[in-house]
Amino acid sequence: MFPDAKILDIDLSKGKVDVMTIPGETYRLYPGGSALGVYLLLNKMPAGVDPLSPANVLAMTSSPIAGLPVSGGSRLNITAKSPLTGGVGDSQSGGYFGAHLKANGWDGIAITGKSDKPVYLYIDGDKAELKDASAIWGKVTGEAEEIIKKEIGEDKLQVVQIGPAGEKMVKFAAIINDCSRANGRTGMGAVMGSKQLKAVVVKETKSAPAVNKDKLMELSKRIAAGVKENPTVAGLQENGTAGELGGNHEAGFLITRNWQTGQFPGGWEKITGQTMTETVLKKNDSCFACAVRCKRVVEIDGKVDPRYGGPEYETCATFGSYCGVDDLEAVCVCNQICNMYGMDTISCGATISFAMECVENGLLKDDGLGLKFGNAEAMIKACEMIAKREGALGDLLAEGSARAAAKIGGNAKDYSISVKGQEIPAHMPHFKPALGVIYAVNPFGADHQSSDHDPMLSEAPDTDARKWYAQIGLWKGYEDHFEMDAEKARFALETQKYFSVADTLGLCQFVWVSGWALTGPDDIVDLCKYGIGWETSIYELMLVGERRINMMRFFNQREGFTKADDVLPERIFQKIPDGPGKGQGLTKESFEYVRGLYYENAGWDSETGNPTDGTLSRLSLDWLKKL
Amino acid sequence: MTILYNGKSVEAEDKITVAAFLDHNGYGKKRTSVWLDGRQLLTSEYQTVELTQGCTIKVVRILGGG
Repeated sequence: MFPDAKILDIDLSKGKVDVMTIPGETYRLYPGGSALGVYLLLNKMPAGVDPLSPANVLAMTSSPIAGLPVSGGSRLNITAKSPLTGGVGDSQSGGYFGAHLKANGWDGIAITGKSDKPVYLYIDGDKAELKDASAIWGKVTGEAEEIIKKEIGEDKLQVVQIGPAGEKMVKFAAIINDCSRANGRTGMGAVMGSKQLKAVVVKETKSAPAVNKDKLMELSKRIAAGVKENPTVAGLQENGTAGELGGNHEAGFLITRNWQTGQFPGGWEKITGQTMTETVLKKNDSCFACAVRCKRVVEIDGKVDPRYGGPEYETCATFGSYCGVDDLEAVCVCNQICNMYGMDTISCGATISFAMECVENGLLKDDGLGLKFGNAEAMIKACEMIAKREGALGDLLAEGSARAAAKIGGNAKDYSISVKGQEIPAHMPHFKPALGVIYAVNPFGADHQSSDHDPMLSEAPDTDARKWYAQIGLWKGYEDHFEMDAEKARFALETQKYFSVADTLGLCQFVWVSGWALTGPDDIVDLCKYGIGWETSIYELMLVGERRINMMRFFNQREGFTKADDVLPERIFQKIPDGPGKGQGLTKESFEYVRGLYYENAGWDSETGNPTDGTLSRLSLDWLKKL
Repeated sequence: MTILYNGKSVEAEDKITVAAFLDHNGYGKKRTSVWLDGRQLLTSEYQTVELTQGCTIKVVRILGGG
C-alpha cells in the first residue's frame, strides 16, 4: 500500500486551515516535490490567473521519503505560477525544513488567497495556526527568525520565510530557510509576499523510522563512505560548489561580463571555492542527515555574518565573473544581501550584469552609480536597491532583465540572457549544447539542474556514470561532447526525466542522480523500498519524472506557451571570441535539430511543442484534458 | 621520450603510466577522460598502461553541473 498524502490546505483570504488527503493510489503518481506541487496547482487554480493575485496557489512539498536518515534525501520544493516567467514556477532547496515538515505528518502545504494582514503559519504536529506577523513584516530574515523563535518560545524550529524583497514582490524574490538556503528560482518569494504570508514555521520533531532500518542504514553508510572516494563530491566537501569555477575558466567557459566571453583572466582565482576556503570560510554546513557537507559558511568581520551562509558556484559566477568583479568579499556581501532580503542570486547577479552592459552601451542611466563591469561597489549598491526596489533603477531591475529590457527598449533585449524571462545560470551551452536544449524546453525557464551535462558523456566506459546512464537507456559515449546528434536528444530527455525523479522525491542531485554523484538508479529504488516499503522500479520512477515534466508543460500550454517560447537568446549562438574556448559555439541548426528530435522523443507536437493527447494518456494524465 | 599531449609535443619520462602522467600534469584526483592513440582508456587501465615514444595522448577534464 502506498501511503496517503496529507496536505495542509490553507485559504489566507478566509483565514482557514483545512486538511486534504490524497489517496495513496493517486499520490503514487505524483509522489512529492513539484510533481505533487503542480498536481495541486492544476487541481486548485484555473488558467490565466495573475501570479501575484490571491488565486495563485503556493505549494510547499516534501515527499513520502523525506526525513529518512540518508544523505541528500529531504529537499524542500516550492511551486506556484511564476511572476517571472508567467508559466509554472518551481524551485528546490536544501536544509532541514522538508524533513521536519514530513516528520510533523505533512506531505505538503497548499496556500491560496491573500491575508488582510501579514501572517505566518505555525505547524506543530497536527496543530497548524495562522499567527500575526505584523511585528516581523519588513524585517530581514535573520531578525525575523529571532523574533519568531522568541515569540513561540522555542529554539528548535525550522523557518522558511520571505524577506523584504518578497514583500515588495521583486520578480525573482526567493523563499529562504535557515537564513542561508534559498528556494531561489522563478520568483516564489514574490508569490508568498503577494499573499502577505511572511513565514511558515515547523517545530522540529523526530521522523518516522524506515520500514527496513538495517538495509537503509547499510545504504546510508555506503553513500557516506563514498564521499571521500568520489573526486567531485570530495571536492564539493573541500571547496563547495565554487571549487570547479577555475576549471570552467581554464576550459574557456566561465561566463564573463554578461556572456561576452568565457574566461576571466586575472579575476577567476580570486572568486573560486579554493580562495573562499583559504580566506573567509568559517565552517562547512550540512543539510538533513547529509554526509557531503558542501554548504559554505563564511564570515568577514563587520561585513558578512555567518548566519547567512556563503556563496555557491552560481553566486560566485553571477556576482563575480558575470559582473567582471574579482572581489570575493563583494560576492559574499551580495550573497548576504540576497539571503537577508530574500532574492535569487542567479537572477539578481545576472540582472545586474545585464544592467552593466546596458549602462556601458548608453541604454540605461545609473544616476552616477558607476554601474560598469568590474565595479564591485556599484554592484553591491545595485543589489541593495533591487532588494528594496529603491529608486527608479532598483524598481526597474527588480522586474528581472527581460522585463527591464522591454522597458529600456532599443537593443537592450539582446543583453538579457534569459529564457522564458528567467536568467540563464552559469553553464554555457557553447560547452554543454544538450543542456542548451534543456534551457530552452524546460517548463520553468533556463535551469542547470533539470538534466545532466554533456561532458559527463566523455567519461570512460567503466565509470559509474556510464553504467548508470546505460541503466536508463543511454549507451553512447563521446570523445567530442560538443557534438549534437540524435543520441544527444535522448540524453537531454532521459536525464531530464531522471533528474525530475529527484525533484519529485526531494533528492539532492549531488548525491543521487548526477553522473558524477554517489548513487545510481538501483539505489533510488532501494531507498524507496527500504525507506517506506515502496516496491518500485526505475521504470515506474522514470514515468513519475516524465509525468511531472508533462504536467508542467500542460500548465504552460494553458497559459499560452508554445514552441516559440522554447528559444535561446541570440548571444548563445555567437562563438566565443577568445581564450581556450575560442570559436566554440552552439549553432542554431544543431540546436533546432536536437530540439526537434527532443519533441518527437517526448511525444510533444512538433508544431506547438505541447504534449499530444496520446502522451498525456500514456502518462495517466487524461484528467488534464478535462480541465 | 617525446609524445603528443593535447596537440602539443612534450617530453615525458620513459615508461610513465597514464596515472603518473596525469598526476605530473596537475590533474590529481580531478575527473578526467583519456584517449591514447585514439582509443579511450578504461579508468582501470590508468595505473598499468604506459606511454610510449611518439604516442598521442588526449586528456579531457570532465566538468559536470551543480
